Amino acid sequence: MFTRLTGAALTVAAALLLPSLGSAQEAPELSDPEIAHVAVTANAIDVETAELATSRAADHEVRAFAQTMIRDHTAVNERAAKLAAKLGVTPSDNAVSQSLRTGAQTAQADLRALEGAAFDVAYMAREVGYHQAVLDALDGLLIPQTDNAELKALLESVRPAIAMHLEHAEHLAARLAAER
Amino acid sequence: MSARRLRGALSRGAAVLAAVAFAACGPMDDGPPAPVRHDVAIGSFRFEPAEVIAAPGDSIVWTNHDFFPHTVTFGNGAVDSGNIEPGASWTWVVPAAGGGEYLCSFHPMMTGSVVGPTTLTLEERHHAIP
Repeated sequence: MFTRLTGAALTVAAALLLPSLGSAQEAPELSDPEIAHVAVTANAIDVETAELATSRAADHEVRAFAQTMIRDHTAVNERAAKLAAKLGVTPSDNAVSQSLRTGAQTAQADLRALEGAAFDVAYMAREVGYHQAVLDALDGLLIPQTDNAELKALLESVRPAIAMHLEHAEHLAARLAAER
Repeated sequence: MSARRLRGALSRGAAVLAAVAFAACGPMDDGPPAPVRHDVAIGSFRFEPAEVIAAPGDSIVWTNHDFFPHTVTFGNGAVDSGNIEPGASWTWVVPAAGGGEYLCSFHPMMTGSVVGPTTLTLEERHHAIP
């Protein structure tokens, strides 16, 4: 699944996911409750990082992007919580979620050391890599391995949001790079 | 034929010609065409159709089928729907000045346009109007 990742996205994906997933041939088999936990964790992490950005970002478009991340990823997790309640499923912690959490703690600590324009550049680079990694995880792991039709439909409906966030992040990252 | 009968025949002939001319040209001009409603679906982070051909006075209804809020924002906020919540709609009547390009202010990569019929070339109208 990760053979398509390149450049910065590969670096971030490796930091986020590969320690627990290993190579494509060793991708873990996840149950639906574990997949739900990975999805909820990935959304929660991006909300946390965006909350950091709303207080530290200098560029108004970067702050607006962060507000959009909070709004959209919160909406996904509210939808996921409703679905889990409906299905009577409790999301189950697992190695992929733990790897995501560990990677996020490191990334957020790095971001906290930055301010102003340097923060903006680092945050947008992180968002490009993170959304690319999540998109690849959706396509290569989470959607294909999901058994429950409603959970699969939820993940499929989230995919355009992640793709749109990635495109938006790439646009902002390129603009910031051009201004430096 | 008396002068009176001749005038009558000419009058009947003129009436026939007028009826033929009316049928050939269609009804008399009865004012501007009725406003038309156009629907735009917002789904999977796209406006569908992305381009609407609408005249001033027409209404456009955007309906959000995503579970994320979106906006319809023209001219850097000069016309702004505000939040269109999931399942909600927003209606806008095209003003005399026409439409233009718009985007979702939350997701600026989502774009669409409202094009006035008179702003299209004949070739563009040929392709745009089935």
